[in-house]
Parts: sequence; C-alpha cells; structure tokens
Amino acid sequence: MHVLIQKLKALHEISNEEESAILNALEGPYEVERGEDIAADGSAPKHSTVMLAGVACRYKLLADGRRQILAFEYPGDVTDIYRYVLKRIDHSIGAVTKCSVAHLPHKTIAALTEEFPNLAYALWRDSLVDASVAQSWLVNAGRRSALERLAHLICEQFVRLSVVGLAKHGEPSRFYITQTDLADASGLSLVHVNKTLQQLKEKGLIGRNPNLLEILDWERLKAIAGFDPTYLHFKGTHA
Amino acid sequence: MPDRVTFQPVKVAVSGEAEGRLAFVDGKLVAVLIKLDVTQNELEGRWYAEAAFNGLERMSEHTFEDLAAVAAWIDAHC
Repeated sequence: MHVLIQKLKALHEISNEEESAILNALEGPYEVERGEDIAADGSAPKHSTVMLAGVACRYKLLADGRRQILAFEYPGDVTDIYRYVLKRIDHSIGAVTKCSVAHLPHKTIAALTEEFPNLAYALWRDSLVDASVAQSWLVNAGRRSALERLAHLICEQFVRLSVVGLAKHGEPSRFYITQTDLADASGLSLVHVNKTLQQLKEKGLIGRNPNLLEILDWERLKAIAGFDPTYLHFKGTHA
Repeated sequence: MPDRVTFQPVKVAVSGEAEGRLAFVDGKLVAVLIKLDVTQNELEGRWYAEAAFNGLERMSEHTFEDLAAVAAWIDAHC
C-alpha cells in the first residue's frame, strides 16, 4: 500500500476510488538532500508536499541562528496541506535525512476535494492532528521535566513511525533523529539531552545504540512520559 | 580571570555525583557548573552550566574548556 494511503487510512476510511484519485494527483518523486529545505520560510509555492521516504522537520529559525523544531515529518505525512489555504508558509520544512517527496499541486487539491468530500475530510483530519501534535509539544516544553519530555517525544515518534510500518514493538528500527535534533525539538541543551538519554538507558527503557529506535520497556516509558496516544487520533490498533 | 567572578568547589547530585563549582559574581551566586564525565564522550572534562541565573540562562548552550573560559563568558554576559 502506498505510504500516503497507509497514513490517511490510519486516520480515516477512504475508498479505492479516492485512493486512486489522490495517488494520481501526485507529482514526482523528487529527491531532497539532507540539510536542504523542502519549503523555505516565507515562500508560497503552489503545491503541498507528501513525504515518501526519509525524515523531515518543520522548524523556525531565530535571527541569531537558534532553531526550534516544531514537528518531525515521516513518510506518509503531508507536511504542509494547510498551505493550500494559507498560501505563504510561516516556518521552514527541512530534510533531516535525504528525503524523497511528491508534490500535490494546489489546483488539483481543489478539484479532488470538490469531487471527493470524504477525501477532503481525511486531509482535514490529518491537518487537525498536526495541530493536536503541536499542542502536545507545547505541553511537553512548557510543563514536563527533561526526562518526561524526551520520553514523550520518543513515544510519539515510535507510534507515528509504527503507523506506516517503520517501527515495531520488539524490533529495533533505524532512528535518524540526532541528539541535536532532539535538543532543538525539546528546548533542552545538547548536553542535557545526552544526560537525559543516558538516564533513560540506565533505567532500561531504551536501547544504548543512538542510531536505533529501540524501546525496551514500552509500558514504563509511557508511564514516565505520561504518554496517551489519543491526541494522535489514529484508529484501532495504533491508538 | 576577571576578579569579580569567583568559584567554590561543590559536589552536585547529577549522574550520581559530579565534581562541580558554584560560580559567583561580586559574591552573588549566578551558576552551578559540573565537570562532564565520560558519558559525554568527547566533551569529557569540559565544564557545563547545570543551572544559571540572572540573564545567564543560555550558558547551557555551551561547554567550556576550563574555569578561565567560564569566568570570561560570565564576565561578558553579566
């Protein structure tokens, strides 16, 4: 199953006809090198972007170069569907790893959503979940301790990756997000992130290899994080 | 080292027990520093602000080679 369909179906049921319609609307794939922008702050391209492979992030740069990561984007995610409505993007989307992306032209979105209201509902739901994730990150940064915060981020990445088959309980999977990325996502210093990850490892909650997403005790990690996946709004087994 | 910045040795309860320093400016506490241990890989032996106050909050974005470097940074930012 195409990764975009996997993601959308985890959120909302769509028909075979709707599946074909949105897949036929995709242009690409296009490759984006690690560290390059998929969309630059302030730009107003006439398409939205679908992640096919790799990891990207939405981020905001301050004038002196400090970076806040706003969300991670995985295969199946439409990184900027809201741009169809808002036009100009108010932050950047950057490739954390080499990415393969497809474009969803805005003129096609207009035709698609007119012909298939249920597809419009699925995309709407997807963008509302993005907002829900942003709210969750606000709670994380504002009120959770460093240990809880990183545990929560790890839980979230695991559930989101598992929805598109890129993570599985009991099987370590490749983890491309660096400690620098985690620092910029959590608002913690790099050293603090390193120290906190050491604590999670010493508690036997995550594996020791920094290049792997390996959760050793899901229930305890969730408990420490206070992680409740309801805010991701996935259906069935992913919830 | 700037005269107004002084240090006092202290043990800090992070990662078990870390060698640390309280940093003072004109006798007032502004930061709690620790010496990073082997778990920080290539940063081992460098100084890190576990906590800092009075406008020095961004000190934790850096690590420092020695206490002279810490004092210079504090003097420039305080």
